[in-house]
Amino acid sequence: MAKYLGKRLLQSLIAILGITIIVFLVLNIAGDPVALMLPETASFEEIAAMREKMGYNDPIFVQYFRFLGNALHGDFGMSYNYGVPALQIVLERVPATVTLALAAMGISLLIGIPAGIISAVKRNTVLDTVIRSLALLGQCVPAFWLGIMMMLLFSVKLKLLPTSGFDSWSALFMPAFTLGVFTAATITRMLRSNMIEIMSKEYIDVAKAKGLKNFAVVMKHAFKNALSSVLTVVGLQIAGLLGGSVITETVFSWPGIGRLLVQSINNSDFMVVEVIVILMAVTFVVVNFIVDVLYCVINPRIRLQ
Amino acid sequence: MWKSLKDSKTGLIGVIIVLVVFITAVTATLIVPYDPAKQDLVNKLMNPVFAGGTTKHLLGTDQLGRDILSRIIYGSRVTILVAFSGTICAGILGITLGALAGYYGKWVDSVIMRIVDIQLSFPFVLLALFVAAVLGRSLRNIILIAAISNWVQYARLIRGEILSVREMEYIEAIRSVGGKNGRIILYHIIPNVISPVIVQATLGMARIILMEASLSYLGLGVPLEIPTWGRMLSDGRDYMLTNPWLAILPGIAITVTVLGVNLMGDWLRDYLDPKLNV
Repeated sequence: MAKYLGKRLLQSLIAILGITIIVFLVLNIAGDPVALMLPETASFEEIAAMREKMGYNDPIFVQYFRFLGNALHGDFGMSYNYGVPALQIVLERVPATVTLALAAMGISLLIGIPAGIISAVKRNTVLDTVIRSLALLGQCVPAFWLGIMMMLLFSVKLKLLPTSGFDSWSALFMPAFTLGVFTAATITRMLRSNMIEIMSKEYIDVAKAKGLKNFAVVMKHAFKNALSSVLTVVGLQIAGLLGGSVITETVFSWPGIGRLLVQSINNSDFMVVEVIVILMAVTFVVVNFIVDVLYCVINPRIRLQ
Repeated sequence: MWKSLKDSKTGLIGVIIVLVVFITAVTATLIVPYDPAKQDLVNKLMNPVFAGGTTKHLLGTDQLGRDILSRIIYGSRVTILVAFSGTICAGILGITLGALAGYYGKWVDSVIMRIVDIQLSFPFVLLALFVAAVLGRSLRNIILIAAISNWVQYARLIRGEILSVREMEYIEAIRSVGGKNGRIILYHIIPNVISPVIVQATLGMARIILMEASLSYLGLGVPLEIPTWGRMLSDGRDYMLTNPWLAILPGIAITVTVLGVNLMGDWLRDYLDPKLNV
């Protein structure tokens, strides 16, 4: 197991390194940051002097290693827009996104797990059909539209929830639900098919033959074995949640890094874009590494291999 | 195939939806009642006919008096074009790289699979946003984004299949009679794995449609003058209080199309790959 985890750790590190290379190269293609930093009236000589001073005339790999070295020290350069370190701007917004993503994940587990289990146990009943239809729909509805429709219903028509804001539980509900729907639908569908497969195994028949109550069979014998599939979905959906937060935060004016990313792209504030992209990608790699570790913990079969 | 489709009600619905959207997109210029860009400020912000509007504009008009039905019909063109070309480009890229990785193994495999890892560690929307921001707005860039963010699934699928058949006797037999590598991959391996690829392509198409709509919504999609469903929705948002239909209708168009593609994908999976069916 230690060997496996060591290999996974190495893979994660390579992935993170690759991400920094891509981000660096793409932003290099994106254009000359010097022209953006100086006022429009700057002369050609001034721009040339600034380029030399900032080190943009060095060979590209020298620039990359300098970028990487600075990044390891937490120095991603200054935001053109705010005039303060880009990392600081981004870190200020992180709690809002983390709150939103955790709430969305919570909601999706709260909906997805019971829905998946019920749908599998009550297979081919009306309830199952309803759950499956809703789950399918949940994977088809664009998040931004769902967000707007919820605003129309809950804020405009029923006047129950605020359309935006950041300071209350009621303000959190709609964005978190919007963001969590796709994941909830994915968990439901995945868990259902997994549970159905497990329920046909012989050990389930044995458990039933022992006279165990149906509930105990489903929860202790079937669900426990299907749990690893849920964990995989959760790991993979972290990417979806981080990416989805970009759209959900824009729809609900949520002050997180997703909305900051869109704003920074529109303002060509590339230093901030860089920090957010790297931060999100690294988070995803780290979360998936943790998921793999947990996988070994909850599933002894993997541990033994 | 026809019988299987007739037996699967949801599959049939899916195929019909996809066909309708496809035909609408292809014949858009012939069937639109108005020029989708034509402004008519006298008749702006009209409700659809079922919500108190007139039959002159069946789905109403937007803030500039443009006909919503015409714009939705035109919007389907971007959706279909991006979905199909994006899927084809992603498929070609993924199949080629996956085949190389699986067949040649060793360092070729290591390099390609590390690229896959890196690619997978970029959230889908993030990658799309990043590329859109850097390369700018154009139809070609959106298709490019769709291709780069979707090739991985094909590559993994093909690589896995090739690894499992590479050492099989029939491949060895072809090799022993002098079959070349390219020919073996193209004629003897790929036909064996085409079913899961088709299923993957349909599901990938649904993702691409949602991605294109999201990018258009964020203003990072195709150029602003081309009508798209995502763009219409984001414009309509500003009139949510007075004219909610402006945001509701394009959303329905997106949802129904994605639903159709997904239903078709589910049916294709059951039909082509019965062992996957649970």
